[in-house]
Amino acid sequence: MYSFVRCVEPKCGKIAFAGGKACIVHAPHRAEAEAAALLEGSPEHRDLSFAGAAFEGLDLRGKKFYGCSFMGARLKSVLFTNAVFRLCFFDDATFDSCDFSHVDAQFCSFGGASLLNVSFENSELLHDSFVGASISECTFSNSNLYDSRFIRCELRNSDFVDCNLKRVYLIPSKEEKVSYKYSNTMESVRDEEHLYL
Amino acid sequence: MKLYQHYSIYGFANSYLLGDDETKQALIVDPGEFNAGVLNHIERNGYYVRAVLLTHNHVHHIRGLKTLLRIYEAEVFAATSRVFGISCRVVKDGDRFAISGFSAEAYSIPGHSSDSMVYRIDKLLFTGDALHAGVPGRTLSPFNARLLVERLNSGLLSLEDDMVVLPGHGPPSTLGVEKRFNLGFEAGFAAKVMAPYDFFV
Repeated sequence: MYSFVRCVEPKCGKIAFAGGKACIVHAPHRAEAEAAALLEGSPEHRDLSFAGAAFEGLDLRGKKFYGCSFMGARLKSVLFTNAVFRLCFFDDATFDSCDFSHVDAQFCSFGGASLLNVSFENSELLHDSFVGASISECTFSNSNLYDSRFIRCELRNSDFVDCNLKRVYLIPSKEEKVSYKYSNTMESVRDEEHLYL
Repeated sequence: MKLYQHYSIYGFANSYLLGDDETKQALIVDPGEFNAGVLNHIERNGYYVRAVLLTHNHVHHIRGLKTLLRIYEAEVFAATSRVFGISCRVVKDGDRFAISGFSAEAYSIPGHSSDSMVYRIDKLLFTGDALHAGVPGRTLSPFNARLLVERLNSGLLSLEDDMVVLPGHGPPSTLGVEKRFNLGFEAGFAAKVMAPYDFFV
């Protein structure tokens, strides 16, 4: 689990950034660039917080993330292909044109995140939360979404083709042009009347 | 502080292991299952389990307790004094205590069950079945649903948004997301909860 070391700035209270002493707001000028280099340079990351950072064009294919936080981060054109995630938090993060295909992400949270043109194809997305997320032009096709939750999220122009939806809560507040073709929607929770399995 | 989650097929419940890498002491929240995999994981990390926190005494959250206590001499914390005949240290709403090198605070959040507790350790909230990602815990009547939501409101929602919610079932979340999107906080949610109907009463 990412370290809960607080920012050294008095009265800040936020979590220190990327293993440093201050949060992203109070971190030294080059902290974000150094964090990007750290992310690309090491095959495995444990217990680090990258909350609030902005990253563009990073190649993080095949990296492993354990207990990391990307809360409130802005990620554009970042490749996470084949990456592994355990207990990672992306709440309120913004994703634009990112690739999460073939990832193994378990027990992660994308709550309140904004996802535009993101691919989660051919992935293991077990016990993941997309509660309150805004999901547009995304694909989850051919993925295992067992026990994940899409509650009060907005789904637009997105695909869930040939997915495992067993025990998945699919109760979006908006749903436009979403395909569940070949997926086992009967094994998912689709309304509040059957909220508790 | 190291946190590990274990998903038990029995009852589809989550258990959590929280370990301190310096002291090698650990605690377990809701040992729904205690099998060779869990034991090997604890031993591989060199931990000794000193405490067990029970969020409530439903069997799929505590079934591994007896096995665990055969191996580790751990103190059990719960809202009830006995579980499976095992004496527990009773915790009440607002109690603060030190366990395995961690400082914990207890919140009584009844509704799902009368003994439901939520434990806060630093930024972690072990919510049991009081609060899940996107939904509150299951209740058996509109009264209990209202009680649960009221207690969540008064007990937890004043905490910081970046608190990590670690529920007894389903994926993790953060408190900020739950405040904004959890169905339980929608107006009229409690009224929708139907009392169970038993044909043979």
